[in-house]
Amino acid sequence: MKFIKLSHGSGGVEMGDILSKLVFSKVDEKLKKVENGVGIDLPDDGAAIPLKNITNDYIILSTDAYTVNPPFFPGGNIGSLAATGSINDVVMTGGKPIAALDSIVVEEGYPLDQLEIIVDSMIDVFKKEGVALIGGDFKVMPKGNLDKILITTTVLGLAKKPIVDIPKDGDVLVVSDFVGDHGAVIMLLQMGVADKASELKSGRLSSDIKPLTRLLPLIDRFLDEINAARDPTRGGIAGVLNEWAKNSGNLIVVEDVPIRDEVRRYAEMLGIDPMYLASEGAAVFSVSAEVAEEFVEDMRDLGFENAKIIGKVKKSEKYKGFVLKKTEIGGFRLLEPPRGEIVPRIC
Amino acid sequence: MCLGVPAVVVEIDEEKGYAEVDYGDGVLRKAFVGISLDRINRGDLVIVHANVVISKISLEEAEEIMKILKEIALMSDEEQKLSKN
Amino acid sequence: MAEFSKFEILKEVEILLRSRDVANLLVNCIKKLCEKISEDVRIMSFCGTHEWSVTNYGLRSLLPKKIEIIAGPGCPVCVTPSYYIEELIKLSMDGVQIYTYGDVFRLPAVKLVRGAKSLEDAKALGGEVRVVTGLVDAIELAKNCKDSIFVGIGFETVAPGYAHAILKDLIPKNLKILSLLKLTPPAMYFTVEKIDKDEKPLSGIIAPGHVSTIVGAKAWKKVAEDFRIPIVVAGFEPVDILMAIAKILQQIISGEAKVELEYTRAVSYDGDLRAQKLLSSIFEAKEDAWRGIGFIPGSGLRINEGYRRYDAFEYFNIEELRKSEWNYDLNAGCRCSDIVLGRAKPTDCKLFMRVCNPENPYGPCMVSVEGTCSIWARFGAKEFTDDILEELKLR
Ligand code: SF4
Repeated sequence: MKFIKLSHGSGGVEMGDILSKLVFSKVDEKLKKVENGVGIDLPDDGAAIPLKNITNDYIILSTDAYTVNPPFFPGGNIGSLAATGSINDVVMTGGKPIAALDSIVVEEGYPLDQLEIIVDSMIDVFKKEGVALIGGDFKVMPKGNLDKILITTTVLGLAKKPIVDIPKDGDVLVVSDFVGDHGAVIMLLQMGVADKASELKSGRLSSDIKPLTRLLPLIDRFLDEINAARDPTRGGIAGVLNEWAKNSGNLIVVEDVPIRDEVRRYAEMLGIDPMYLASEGAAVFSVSAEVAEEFVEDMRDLGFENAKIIGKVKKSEKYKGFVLKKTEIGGFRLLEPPRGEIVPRIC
Repeated sequence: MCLGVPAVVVEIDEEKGYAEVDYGDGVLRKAFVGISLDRINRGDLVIVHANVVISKISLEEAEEIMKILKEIALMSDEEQKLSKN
Repeated sequence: MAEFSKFEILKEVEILLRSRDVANLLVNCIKKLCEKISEDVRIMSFCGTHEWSVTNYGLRSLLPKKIEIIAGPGCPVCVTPSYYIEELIKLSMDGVQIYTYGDVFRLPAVKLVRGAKSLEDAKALGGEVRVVTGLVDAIELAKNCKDSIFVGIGFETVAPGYAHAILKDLIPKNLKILSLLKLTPPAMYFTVEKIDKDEKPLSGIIAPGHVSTIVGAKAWKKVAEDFRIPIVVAGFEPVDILMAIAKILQQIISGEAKVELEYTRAVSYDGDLRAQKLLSSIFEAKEDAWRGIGFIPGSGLRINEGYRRYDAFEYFNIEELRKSEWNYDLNAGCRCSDIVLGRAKPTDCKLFMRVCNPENPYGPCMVSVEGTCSIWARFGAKEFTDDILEELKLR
């Protein structure tokens, strides 16, 4: 088996070789740069984007570092996650992603074939979404200084108007899909079955990683009615709603958040609340009440069949910043912001 | 104090007293059978607490509850109708 | 797939047990029963998981004001003495691999041990600690490994599992069990006896459903008779708990005090005889310390003479906490002991949400997801939700 060596990351011939083999040769010529700009067609320290051709008003940029242990999981791997995650961040800010930068740091001794699968998956996502990969970095860390692999992606997009998340009094909350799938898978892997491939194959849990670019026409249409949009990753939907409540000084009431049965059962087994589990292919919106129904209908037409209204934003004098959950049996309780690590419990 | 989770018994290792159970996510996990082995068969619905099978869910009793609860649920329908009239 | 259909049946039951219609009707029924009772009704949900359901489903916001649900000491994490955690921190830093449940992992000790106040800290400082979902995981992970300890916390429910693994010799030689198991019936007796002397004694008890699967409903008979308190063994779904409350009210009205069974789908009167036998053949019951409460006679299980080779106490020379050296092992100001006994509410503690919160737990009740303080912190007190509902006219 071939291994990653320290020299692969030292900026010499070896690095040039591995990058052209791993990355450059796989990106379409057209997507190596933004039209009339500079990208990885001429690998340099940075990439240039001509603005004169661009009529839109805002450049949206988002960057994120991804570490997942283990790097492969049902539904994807760290490569597809890194590409999708940053793309979704741009989409949720109202931008159409057009270009990306990546930075891959890998541990000495990591199997090359696995690295290749990871990078392929990343490039594949960018390709399908028509996002140009215009630059990047590649480093190798000595064994033991890094746990396998770390990928950072920066995605740039353009938007007519960025969505700044401030839900308004009276808004209706809409979720595009089931939540918590990705977080459940990661919990599953970290709770000790990671090396048992056969066990995972029979499993019904799978990450929901998917780019949310299909939502762009919807965002375009309702741009003036959308007061907040976010993909609930770390911290889950509970995290997003609490942040929104706090930032806007409103109170949020939610009920009936869609959670897949498998995810709910697994979460119940660990004694954790799926409202805190991450999604990597779901979106929450806060939209004006008048258009809410139509918004959901349109979302369903775009292929998000599970789209659903899950709550309301209300003004409160005394209780600004809280999230209240109406329970299945009609009782009420507070939905607290996520705290600490999620650990399974005995009791 | 003891979070118990329903699971289906998929396999039993009689000798060691292990059961392989599915909690509903399709992944088989081992659990000790802490109770009498002859109470448990493949396909049974059991309650598992921290990797230990602590009880079998009696389907007869469950159906009994269902019957009672369905009646209660029906009553609430009727109550609603009454209050609307 | 054949197996999956079982889940369909279960789901059907669950839908009803979490149904708004059924809950509404039961709440109405509870309201009517309440009208026939003049005094306030104080019901203890002995088990932390019941308390969790009560809060998670917002049951308090549905019940009449007259009914107060008090959380009891049924959380094995909250009642584990700080001393043992401190010993484990030391061992983990001396290179012994520790396997533990997630909530024990975060449990704060009173003393700072080599810079760590919890096993979580110890891990960050290089200690060998790993979170598992149970002994089965620990056995898998410990195979061909170095000296390891499984922190055997729990009640009668996990105990037969540990006993079974010992009896069948399923545990690798390098893995030892630190049995900190506790027994519930003696603790319930102790708690009720203490509260019985208070001004406001208990009107009823919701008995732990899962412990009862092992010990049987019969285990609570003595408490019901000696203190004349209605006891109902209940399941953990919201409708289960509402039914239990209704049954307790009925007993109060008819002047009865007996043990009733609501959780019929999982519990019998006699419990599981093999499990009971397993416990008595592998363990011996000892007087044991409950954190912040003190020593309760016959309330702890230790591995007995015949199976010492599995015992972490023996192998690692861990000293038992002695009664003479017993200190009230709570941080100054923490009122967990009163809270665990149902004599105070978290909001009665001056530190609640000021010094002590789920991110930085100061006392043990704030640690376990089941700890009363933690539950109140996360889901809010009843008064609080009531007030919001009032303001927003949501009811
Ligand atoms: S709030 Fe914290 S300090 Fe106060 S009783 Fe609860 S756990 Fe102890």
